[in-house]
Amino acid sequence: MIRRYASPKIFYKLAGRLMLWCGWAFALFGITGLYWGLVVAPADAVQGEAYRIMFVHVPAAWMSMMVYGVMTGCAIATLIWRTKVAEYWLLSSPVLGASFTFLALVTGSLWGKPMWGTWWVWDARLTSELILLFIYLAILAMKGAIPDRRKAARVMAMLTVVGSVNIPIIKFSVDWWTTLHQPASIFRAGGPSIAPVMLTALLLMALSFTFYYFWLVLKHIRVLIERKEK
Amino acid sequence: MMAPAALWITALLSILLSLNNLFREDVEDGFAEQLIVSSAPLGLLVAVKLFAHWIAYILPLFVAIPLLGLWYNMPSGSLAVLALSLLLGTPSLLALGALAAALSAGLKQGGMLLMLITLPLATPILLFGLSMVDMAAGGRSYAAAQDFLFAMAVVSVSIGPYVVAASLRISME
Repeated sequence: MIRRYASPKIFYKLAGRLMLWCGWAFALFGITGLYWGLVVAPADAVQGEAYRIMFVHVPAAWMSMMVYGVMTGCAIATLIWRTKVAEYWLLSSPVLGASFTFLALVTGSLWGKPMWGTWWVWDARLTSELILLFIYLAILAMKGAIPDRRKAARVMAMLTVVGSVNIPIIKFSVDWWTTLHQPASIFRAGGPSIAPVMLTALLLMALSFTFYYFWLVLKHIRVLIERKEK
Repeated sequence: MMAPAALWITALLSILLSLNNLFREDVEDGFAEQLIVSSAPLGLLVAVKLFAHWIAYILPLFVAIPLLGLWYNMPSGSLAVLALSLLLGTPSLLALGALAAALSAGLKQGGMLLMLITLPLATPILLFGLSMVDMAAGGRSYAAAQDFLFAMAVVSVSIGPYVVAASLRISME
């Protein structure tokens, strides 16, 4: 079954259908998430209204790591089985991953200015996230430098696998070093530590971001397949 | 303290600036192809090449450490930790740089790409190395950073050459 869908022609049709669903899910979750986050959720007791940037910052930061995780999976499939769809997926993802990382860094510093009193500190979480951005940019630079798409995908796959060492460093940076960035408050032992109404808004936004990624990636893969196969 | 940062950056630069030529000439004059088709395993050949590179470009740094430590007025205790951190960190730096060199060997703007790829991957190593010396100078335990560097060094020395060899194969396709 996986082998069947790994054929570009069949995947093209599948992607067309999935894309539609992902696009609608992105819009639906995005609108309800924004409504929940901006209207339903109350102002924070300490941070006031400014905390609401969390509903963009946290999903963007999650996505920056999730996209890299997906890319690592594709990279392994590219290197071992030379699966064409995995190559296309790998070619399409880094732009989006870099954008999410950039968004997480920018919203983080916008949030940091009123709360921490500074745009930027060389905190472990912030530094490792910045390194992630540079890794994405290095992968993109390699993509741009190699004209042959299949070879570019394999080179990118190699880099992706080696760079994946950074992902656990980002995830655990708040536990290993006690610096400025707060530790995890959603995925932690003993359950989430934020109010349920805020958590709902956050999860809706996270779903919306996820579907946004899949929507664009499928769209881009379809373009790549069209260019290649037809 | 300036000395640890200065010496770590020296190590990074000596690797970055020299690695541009690690595979480039081999790829251009066809020697890399001979290595790939030869009966000896490519990973082993790469390992030998990297070890020779380490001796030629990194070992002199260790000879210079006592002298540089003296110039920077470092206490001898931190000097030993600095040497240890470099000993544990440079194999990883070299492996990462060699990976980038192998991937960019056949490309026109190879030198630029080499920097662009190596720097983000090498930064964590650099930071762990510096934090090791920092901790030691502050009288705290530096075991965590040391263990991380050691783990990375083990991976780099054991798997690294094979990854570099695979990368070389990809860029020679």
